[in-house]
Amino acid sequence: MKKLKITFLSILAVSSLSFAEDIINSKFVKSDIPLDPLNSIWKQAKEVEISLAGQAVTTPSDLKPSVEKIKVKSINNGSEIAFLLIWDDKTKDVYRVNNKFSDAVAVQIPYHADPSTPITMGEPGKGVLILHWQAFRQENIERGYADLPKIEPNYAVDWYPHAQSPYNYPEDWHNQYALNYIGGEKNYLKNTISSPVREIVAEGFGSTTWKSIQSAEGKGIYKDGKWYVEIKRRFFTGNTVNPEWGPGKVTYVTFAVWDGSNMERDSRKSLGYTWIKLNIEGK
Amino acid sequence: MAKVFNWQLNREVEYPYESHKVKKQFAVVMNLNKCIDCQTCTVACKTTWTPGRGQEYMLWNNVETKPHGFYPIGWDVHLMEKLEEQNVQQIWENGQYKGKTIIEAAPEGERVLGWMPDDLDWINPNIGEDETSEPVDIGTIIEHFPNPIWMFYLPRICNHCSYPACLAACPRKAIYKREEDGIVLIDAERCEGYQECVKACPYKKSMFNQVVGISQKCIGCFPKVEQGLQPQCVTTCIGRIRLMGFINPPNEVVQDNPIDYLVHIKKVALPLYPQTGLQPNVYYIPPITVPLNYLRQMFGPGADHAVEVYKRMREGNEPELQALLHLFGSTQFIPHKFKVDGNYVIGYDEKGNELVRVPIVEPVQFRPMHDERYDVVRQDIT
Amino acid sequence: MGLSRREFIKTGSLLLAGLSSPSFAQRIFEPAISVENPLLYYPNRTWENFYRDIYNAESSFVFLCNPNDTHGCLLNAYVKNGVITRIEPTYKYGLATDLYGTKVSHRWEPRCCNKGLALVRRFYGDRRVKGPFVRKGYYEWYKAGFPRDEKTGEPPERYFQRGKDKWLRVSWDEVSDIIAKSILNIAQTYSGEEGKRRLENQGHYTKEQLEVMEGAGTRTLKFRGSMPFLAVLRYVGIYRMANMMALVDQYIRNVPPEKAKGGTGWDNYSEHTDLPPGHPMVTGQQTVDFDLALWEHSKLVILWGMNPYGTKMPDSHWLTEAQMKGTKVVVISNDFMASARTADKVIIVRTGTDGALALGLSYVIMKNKWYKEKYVKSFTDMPLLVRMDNGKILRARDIIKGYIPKTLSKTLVYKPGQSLPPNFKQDKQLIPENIRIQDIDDYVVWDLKTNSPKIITRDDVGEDFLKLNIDPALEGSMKIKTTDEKEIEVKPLFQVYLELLEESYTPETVEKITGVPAKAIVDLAKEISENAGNTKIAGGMGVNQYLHGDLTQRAMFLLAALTDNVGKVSGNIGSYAGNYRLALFNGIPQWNFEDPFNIELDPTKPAKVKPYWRGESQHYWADEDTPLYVGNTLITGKTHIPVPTKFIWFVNNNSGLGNQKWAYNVIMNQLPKTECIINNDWWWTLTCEYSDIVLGVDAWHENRFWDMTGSVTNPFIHVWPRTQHRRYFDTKNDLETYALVAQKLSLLTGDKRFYDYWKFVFDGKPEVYLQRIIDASSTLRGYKIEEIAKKCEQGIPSLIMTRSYPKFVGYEHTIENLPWYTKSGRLEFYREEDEFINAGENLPVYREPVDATRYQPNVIVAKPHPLMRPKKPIDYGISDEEALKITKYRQARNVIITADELLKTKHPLIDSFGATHIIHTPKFRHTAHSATGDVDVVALLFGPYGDFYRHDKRMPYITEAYIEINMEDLKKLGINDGDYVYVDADPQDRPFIGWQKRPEDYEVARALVRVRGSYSTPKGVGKIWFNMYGSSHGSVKGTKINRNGLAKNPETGYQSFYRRGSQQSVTRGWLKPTLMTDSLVRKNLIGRDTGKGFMLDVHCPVGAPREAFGKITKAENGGLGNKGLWRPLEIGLRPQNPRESFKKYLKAMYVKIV
Repeated sequence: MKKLKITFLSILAVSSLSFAEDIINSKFVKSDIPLDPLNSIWKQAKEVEISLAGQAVTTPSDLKPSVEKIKVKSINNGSEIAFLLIWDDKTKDVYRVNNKFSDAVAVQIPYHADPSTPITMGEPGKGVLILHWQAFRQENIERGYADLPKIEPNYAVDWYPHAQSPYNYPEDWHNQYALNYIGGEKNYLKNTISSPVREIVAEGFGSTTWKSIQSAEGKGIYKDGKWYVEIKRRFFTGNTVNPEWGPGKVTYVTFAVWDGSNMERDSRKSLGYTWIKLNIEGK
Repeated sequence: MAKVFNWQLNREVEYPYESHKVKKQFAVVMNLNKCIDCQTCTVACKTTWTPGRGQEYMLWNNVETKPHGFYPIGWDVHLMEKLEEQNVQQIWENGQYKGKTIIEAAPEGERVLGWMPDDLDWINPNIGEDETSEPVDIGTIIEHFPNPIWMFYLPRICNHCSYPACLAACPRKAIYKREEDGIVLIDAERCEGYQECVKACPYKKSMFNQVVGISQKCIGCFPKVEQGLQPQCVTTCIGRIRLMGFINPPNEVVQDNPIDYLVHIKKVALPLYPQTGLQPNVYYIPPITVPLNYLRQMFGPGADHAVEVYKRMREGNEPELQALLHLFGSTQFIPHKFKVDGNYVIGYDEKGNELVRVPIVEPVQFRPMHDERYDVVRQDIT
Repeated sequence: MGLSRREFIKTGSLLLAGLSSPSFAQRIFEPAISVENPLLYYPNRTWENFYRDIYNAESSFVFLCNPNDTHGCLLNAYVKNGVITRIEPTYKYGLATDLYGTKVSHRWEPRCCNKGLALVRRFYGDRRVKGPFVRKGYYEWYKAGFPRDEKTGEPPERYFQRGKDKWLRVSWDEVSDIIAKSILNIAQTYSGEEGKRRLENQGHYTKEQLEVMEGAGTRTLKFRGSMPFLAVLRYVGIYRMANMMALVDQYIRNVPPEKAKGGTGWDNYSEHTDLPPGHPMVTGQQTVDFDLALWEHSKLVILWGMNPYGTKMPDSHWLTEAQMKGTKVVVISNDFMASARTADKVIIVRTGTDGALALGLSYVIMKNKWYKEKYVKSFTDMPLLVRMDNGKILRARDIIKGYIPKTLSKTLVYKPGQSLPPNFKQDKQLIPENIRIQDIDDYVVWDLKTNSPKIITRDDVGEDFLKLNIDPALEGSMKIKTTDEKEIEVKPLFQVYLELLEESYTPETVEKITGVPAKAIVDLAKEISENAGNTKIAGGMGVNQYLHGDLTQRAMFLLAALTDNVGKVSGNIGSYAGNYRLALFNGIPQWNFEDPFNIELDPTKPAKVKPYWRGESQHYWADEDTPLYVGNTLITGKTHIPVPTKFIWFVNNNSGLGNQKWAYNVIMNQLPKTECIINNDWWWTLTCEYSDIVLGVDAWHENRFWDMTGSVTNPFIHVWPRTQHRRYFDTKNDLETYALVAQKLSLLTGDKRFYDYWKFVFDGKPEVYLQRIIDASSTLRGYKIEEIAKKCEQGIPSLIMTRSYPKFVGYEHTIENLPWYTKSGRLEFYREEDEFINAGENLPVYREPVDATRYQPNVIVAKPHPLMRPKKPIDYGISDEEALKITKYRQARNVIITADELLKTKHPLIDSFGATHIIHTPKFRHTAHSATGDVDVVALLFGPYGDFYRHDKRMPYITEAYIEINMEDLKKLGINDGDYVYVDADPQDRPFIGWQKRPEDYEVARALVRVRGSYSTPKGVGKIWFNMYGSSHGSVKGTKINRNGLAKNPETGYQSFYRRGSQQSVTRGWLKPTLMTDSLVRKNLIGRDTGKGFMLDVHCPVGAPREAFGKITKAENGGLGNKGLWRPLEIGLRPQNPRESFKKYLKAMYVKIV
């Protein structure tokens, strides 16, 4: 009972902070959209600041969130839409290891442009698309995978069955015998996607599921105590379900931020508790 | 929060999910009076299941020397600290636990009262090995039970709890309990590596694979169990301290089921830190050399009785129990039933077929000195 | 060399495609799945197949794991994707049987251990020796045609930079040529007068050493397979090689076969300090022991310095299961070791004083007449009369003129040249006539019935003695007339022992010596006598491995004999160390002694046996390659004299060099005198590091030929299965390495007999040799090798056919009234031989350890007794001061002082060096000797410092060596738990003689370890586990140039567990005078024949590896990277500074029960 009350209050608290008239206008641009959060193209878009609060609807919750607002911009060129997300973070956390978590940010879009979709990651029949940028994925892609030589540099091991010497993950673990020990092919694939942004669908807490077709791109830059993260996706990608959105359309979005050094992961996060209208320019 | 009945605490406890009776419940009995700390179980488990990348430090089975040994370091000291922080009084009143469980004592916004080990907490997995509780010196004589100077070996695997904290804590519900044998597993494909189970498990038997980014744990050797075989840590136990079988609830005890006999009937085998409230399913026959207050802290109020019965057995007053304990290690198959027949104890499989028959005292046999048939003189000193 | 990581694993068939592939779509689902109650139901469980796939192997096969741990386990190897992924026990020991249908039970299951299951890591590990290797310098010496110094014959130093050199991979053909030519060249160099002159000019060897060579250079060729019993073809085969050297001698010196000399064969059991040298002194034969499965047949078990939980793991359950049935276990130890954990009584004794304790216990039993009179009178020397004038035991010939010894019925007394029954048909002991007459004669007891002396023979033991209707006096003093009309005083030995004990070893006195309270001594004595005939005393390395282990064993035997605890199912004494008893296969001469001049090539016929090789203790080589001189006196007996060592061929042998006692003195000072060192192994050990030639042989799972082994602690015989598993590297079976060299010798000498000597190896049928051994062995005869081999390949061993299952020593004596192998046929606690009298050890006295004591070392602690007449230092031409301070001389310093005086003395190193701690080096659960322990998953748990990730780069490996000391000592020394410390012993000779002038070598040799403060070790005692691989020049170099700081030789891949030095840095070699006699009468090693003086592995030096007294100095902080405290200490989870919650936890204050 006690927990429920807190949840209720915190939702009220949050709602009162964010203004109903908050609108994100996705600026139409003619050019290609560069994958660069510091690119001058972003000057064209209007910045909206959105208040966030610790997730307290379900457990585990985040009673001491470290991020309380996020600045958002959006642009689109008719086929692609991109978001620029900026927030304060004292520490750059790019590893996902024992007792350490990675910084991350996510954009949530309902499949149906319907604000009655529960903001708590949807519900059966009212699914949401989540574009999830995670710092550790970008680190793996840009600076080499966080295998033992990176995270435990002095390690010494005699042998690994089936893997190829010198046993570097992922490249030397390319076979089913070796992968059986460590989560199989699917985890291997999750760890080798070429983008720091994963696309997941959800129909309620605990149901997030990787999409079979991953097409979102992203790029994060940590500068002067701030994260600048761009997340970009084609409105419509083939062989999969896409949200009801596109040039000239209106839908809703909301955002979540994770601060790794505050032990934030899963439902331990800061999030916006109301849908923000997303007005997509163009036709 | 649902209410589920925990027979080890002799009361209902809170749990996030409704309880559900599995068809069979995996259980292991470990006789701590026989453990020699050879670590064969640890190596058997490691070479069989965790030789992969990111698993280097993982010991799904470990053996630690109490009271100075831990893996990870200080795990059960942390458990005591955490309960104290939440002002939980660990009080047992005639067989019933009055304090809060780690689920009931969960802080606001948490599902379980847990703690997260640091990377460095997992190293030194055999710290405290063979270290006694008190100093010895030249001329020290130890000759009375319980010993004033003591240590003992505690082998640990996943307890495949009836109400697992890892399962309760996983926000993705990627941890489940197998209906056919009660083994608790983490779905390696749905796990997103949040480490909530690592934090929640009071026994610290869920471990994070830092390279792959998923949590992994003891699987109760289910591929063996499915074939009627006992787990690797049991079938390689040269101390012959372990027996794996299936346990029934106290109200459905089967007299000749070895596990029921040891846990429910003779009550010599006890759960590890039952006050967690998870109803763990590894049962320990406590070491009779160790002071009772320590055993009560670790195994609950049944410790006095268990020690008492075991001592009685050594004096020859528990022949059936004595016989059953000789079945440990004698077969790699799961004994569902047992029978004592004179100098022999017999184990049977699920269908009632005899698995093995061993003597309680190994008979000595002699050979003649002169053997005409082979034209040889048999000799001892050659 | 090519020791870099290489894998031979076939890639799994499925190569995963990239993300774009449609397969990805199938593998990551959409839409979202949600789970209701995971306690109740889980939707998709197909992922579980990962683990089913891991478990379901493609095939499996059985192999034998057999390090020197006395167990030997048939194991199942499971193969997946072409590699062995896991190892399991076979669970088929319960099916073992013999030719008589003897049944054993499944209580033997499971047979395996942590090391055996970890072998999979070793099979594919990067320290595998992947073929034949030759040290670059040695290769150049060979290519240059073995150039030598004209005068001394010594090779130029530049070729001999052992341990620092590069290695070359060569072909098997070339390496056998190198070895064959080395053998011929070295034998030639040191043969004849010329050779003798060269050795003299080298100016190191004594004249006796050159004399015993008898001009044969082949004698300087030393061969050692370790341990022979573990694989009788592979490890004994090297001694066959030694026998074959007679052909080389004939070729070089052109002598006839009867004059030809073979090589020298080195010892094993005694070399390892596993032989309990007191056993031959008391029983006349190697060792008394019993299969550990017999524990449950006794009411009381005493573990005396034996730690089965650490060293006898697969058999420990027999002990705990005995306890479940009421057997009481008493542990006597110098620390609280693992086996004390479940004991009913633990007694912590001062290190090395166990002998005094045993004497104290014996005294209480004698004084209170709690002893078993019948046994004492009929089976021990206690009723025999000893002459008080000369300390000799009275003989019939002393009192009867022209006495002719009686004819013996239980012994075959034979004349020179008389043909004897083969070992497998000997139903009696064999004694040569001269020993019968000169050494034995007949004995005299004092009959109380007639109050007169009575003659008894060695036949008169047990029931047969009682039949004589003599009641021998045990106490009192008698006058008796000798043949020369002198009246002399004689006493029964019982009386003499009682006098000695009453004066010197009462419980009160023994308390002063041992620290064990007098009351506890009386209590234990009572407990043992209450369980007379029902007590087993198991000793081990913990009491053996001190200089006076023999005295300790003599005292323990006295205790066992007084209480009728020898040679029974329910009562016995045993010493446990090493799988020594090759004699159990007493048909072995068929193999190692086949006459090379008369080779039997018919596989169906037995070999003709003729010994050409000479036995010798390797301890002399390790102890400066000379016999023991004290002052001007040669102490070493003539039968023991060692020959100069110029060539060594080790097989499976880290103990011979890498883990040798005084290893760093051997490495720095002895190796240069030896010209060729060969080592066969499949794992790159410390011995390999300092060899010239390393022959990579098959690992156990690659075994190509059947081979055979047995055990001293269990009743099984194993045939090494022939596996079909492929060879991963360019390795050979050990037998092939011998055969290839023999083949080369045939080519080089034109003598075909070298080749023929190994014919059945070339034919691929070495089992012919096995069947010959079987047919000639009393314990095996009747078995067919094919049959027992086939069983083993299914995981089923066979039983060894001694007189009983389980087997034990003493049955034939105690139950069947056969005499023991001593002169008197009785258990002899008194030793009348001059060497013993000179050493003051004719009586079973107590002596202080020679180094491991804070009091004056090596003194005889007793009050004077008329029969104690030891030689003094002055008799050897040295001062008492020299004798005390010079360690080499100290071993022969026989000074008698009382216990009270002792307590006032000090070890000289306390003042001269500031020594504070006895340092002993016991063995541990994590490895058998140095073998099998150094793979990651085992090492991780070896001690408290395991860390796969080596967060602290200073760690030599993923674990590291440490010295364990008492917590209060930590405080005193101002050191913290987990710090790094230097451990230094006697600076005059440790770590090696002359270290002061050789800083680079000293850096390698000086022990640097962690320190662990613990409650389990008494004050003043430091413990470093024996079994870790020590530092080499290469591993120390590695710590400096390897990026991750590993103590791994960049050249060879050798992995040390120490950053610097090793546990052997504090040890030295010791040569105890009473182990080098020419007069001790004892059974030969193999067969029932009797001899005198030296006998390989029976009567020869054993060293004293636990003798060290040193100091501990802080080197670095324990915290990561030398900063602050070791983390566990820092966070308050160590006994040195427990945090509040930990204190509360330890006091168990968290739980209340109401």
